[in-house]
Amino acid sequence: MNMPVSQEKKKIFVTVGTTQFDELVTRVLHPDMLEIMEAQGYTHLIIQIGRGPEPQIPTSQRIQITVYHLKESISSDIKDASLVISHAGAGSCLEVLHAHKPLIVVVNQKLMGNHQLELAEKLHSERHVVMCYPETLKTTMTVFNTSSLENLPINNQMALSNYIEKLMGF
Amino acid sequence: MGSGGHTGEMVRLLSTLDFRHFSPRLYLVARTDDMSAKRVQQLESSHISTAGLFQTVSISRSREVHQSWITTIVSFLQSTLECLRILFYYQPDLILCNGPGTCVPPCIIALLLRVLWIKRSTVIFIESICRVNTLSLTGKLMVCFLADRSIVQWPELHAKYPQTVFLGRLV
Repeated sequence: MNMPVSQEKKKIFVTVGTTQFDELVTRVLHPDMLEIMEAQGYTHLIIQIGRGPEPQIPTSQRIQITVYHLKESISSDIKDASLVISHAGAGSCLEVLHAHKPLIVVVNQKLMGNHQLELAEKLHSERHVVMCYPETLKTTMTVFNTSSLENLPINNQMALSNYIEKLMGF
Repeated sequence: MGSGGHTGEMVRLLSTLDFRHFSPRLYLVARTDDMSAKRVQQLESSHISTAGLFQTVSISRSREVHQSWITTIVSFLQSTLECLRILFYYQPDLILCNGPGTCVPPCIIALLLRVLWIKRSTVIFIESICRVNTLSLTGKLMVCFLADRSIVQWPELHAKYPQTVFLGRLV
């Protein structure tokens, strides 16, 4: 039988969090971006768009695109992905880093008093993520190299519990 | 508990605590914040040591994002009054908060109850992982006036505010 050779799946997961970040969604769906993704061997693009409007999905491309608004948990999408492109929300960033997935953080400059920038810059300066802006995402994606990233050190999980128990006299 | 990121971080922090030592538990969530109430429910049902009782109480949000400052004052007073009733009745030994707008009124009430010799609650504030170099507005209020102990998660911030406690990255 002449079956097509099953291609290995290579997924990109894009997440904007619980609000919306339409500029990011538009940018990842731009034909140029899709072309770069294809050239890098990605086969699937999964986009979580939050409260944003349903985007127009380009028709002629080889990469398979899935879009959804919100999900109870995005951990399985993170787990399945070879690359995650995320908004700068701390929750999303840490979840991706805990899963040891390469991460591009796109900062939303339209947010008021953007405190998310602090964490993104810090993680970028310590080479745990690559940070960029919607306008620079294309360039970032072109030169992105996962081997330049370092895993986030393990957090001090029990420290708070120990501290409070001692303080409260247990 | 507060919106989105704050709740996520708080759930992660609480999941490391031994609930047998912290019982009963009262969760304050904003009235419009169904997501947080749901996360509390999940946390409680999945926690390893689910001893004792918990309840979730909703209060008015002290400030919605994009709300004007005048209506903010009104809703802030409203939620503070609600907190007075709740905390007077509940009299917590420990108050944990991590910086959403909802956490200011209960801490003000805790201070009031302490000044009036009604109840001495220990207030612990944990600044969000997002804050590397600067404290949030809530954070400043907590560190300077409201919290007994304030914990920050980055050495840079601890260096700027030596009165804070640094225990490494907690989430």
